[in-house]
Amino acid sequence: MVPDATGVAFLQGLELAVVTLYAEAAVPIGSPAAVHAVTVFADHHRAHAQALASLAGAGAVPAAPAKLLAALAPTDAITSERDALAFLRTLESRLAATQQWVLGGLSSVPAISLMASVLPVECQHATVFGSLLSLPMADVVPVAQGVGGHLDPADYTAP
Amino acid sequence: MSVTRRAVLAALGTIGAGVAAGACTGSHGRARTIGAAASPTTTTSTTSTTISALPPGQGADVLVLQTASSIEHYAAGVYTRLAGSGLVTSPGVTEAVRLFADHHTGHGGMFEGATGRAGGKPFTKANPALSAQGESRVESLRTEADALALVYTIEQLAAATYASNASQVTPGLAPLFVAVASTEARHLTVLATYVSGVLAPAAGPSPPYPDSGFFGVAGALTPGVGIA
Repeated sequence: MVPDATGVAFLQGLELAVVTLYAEAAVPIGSPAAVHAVTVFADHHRAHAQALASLAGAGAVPAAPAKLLAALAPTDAITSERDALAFLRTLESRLAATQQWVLGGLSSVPAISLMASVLPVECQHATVFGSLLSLPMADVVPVAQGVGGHLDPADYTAP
Repeated sequence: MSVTRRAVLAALGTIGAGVAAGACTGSHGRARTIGAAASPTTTTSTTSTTISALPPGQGADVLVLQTASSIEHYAAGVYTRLAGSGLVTSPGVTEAVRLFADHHTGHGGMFEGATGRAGGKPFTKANPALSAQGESRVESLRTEADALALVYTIEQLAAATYASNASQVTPGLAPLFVAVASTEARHLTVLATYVSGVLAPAAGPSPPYPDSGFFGVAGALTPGVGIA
């Protein structure tokens, strides 16, 4: 079981990593809908990181952990808007799965409440990207959020 | 494995292997896509309720779970009626209505299973209070946009309720509520896309996601309303 402080700090580092990766992936994105989504969602992730940092207190990390950045980085070159949207959808999906996984180990009301307000929004981000990619609806909207593809905090340490 | 983790897996186990194994990356089913948006409409706000203070423990868990399954049966019933109403005709919307009806039926089963494991009697019917409120709205529907506006409000109520419930129940049940709330949130995004397009303003009447980036609990149904 991950103690709440450790889990929250891990999730804060994860959000910082996502912000970094958004900036890198956004380069080939040019259509108005996609630019809008990426801009707004990056702001959301900054806000999530800030909220998690407040909850983590002294345990908050100062920057995105290198191991998390490496784990989440694209495995193939992003050369088109479609590549970027597909990568960001996968990124949001892994983020949501990881939050769902960590949530299972949390026990304090503030931490659980924060995840209950953040995780549905990550799923909405993934849904928007799925919509922009015209993916099958059953792929875009699963029956419930799961933990497949999650990162395990035990595998990552502070930078 | 901790007790908490076992409780999480037990709760998610009722969802089915496909979901527990990675729902966010997609379960593969009928091959349809999210299509063009329907005409713009407005959303009627949900009833604003406050969260009652509940005594912690199994009794509170059961009441919260029973309320949740009552919401799901109500939602599934409305979607099923819309599917057969002739009002919903756009291909993408038709697909969404059918898929989401199935989801809500599944969610009802998840909450019922959890109710039984918590030592309670599963609530297997639509919430009577919501049904009474919703009947006149269903009867007054005239267009597909009307139908979308109605189910948007139902999804808002469900998602807000479960987001709120996550911190009202014993921690081992929180993942179940957030897992379901997250899918209701996805439903909202899809419905907003049909109402106002993929660029629907986050500050508008039917936002695809909250402008702030944080899901709220306004409009959450108080545990026990309609069933106690």
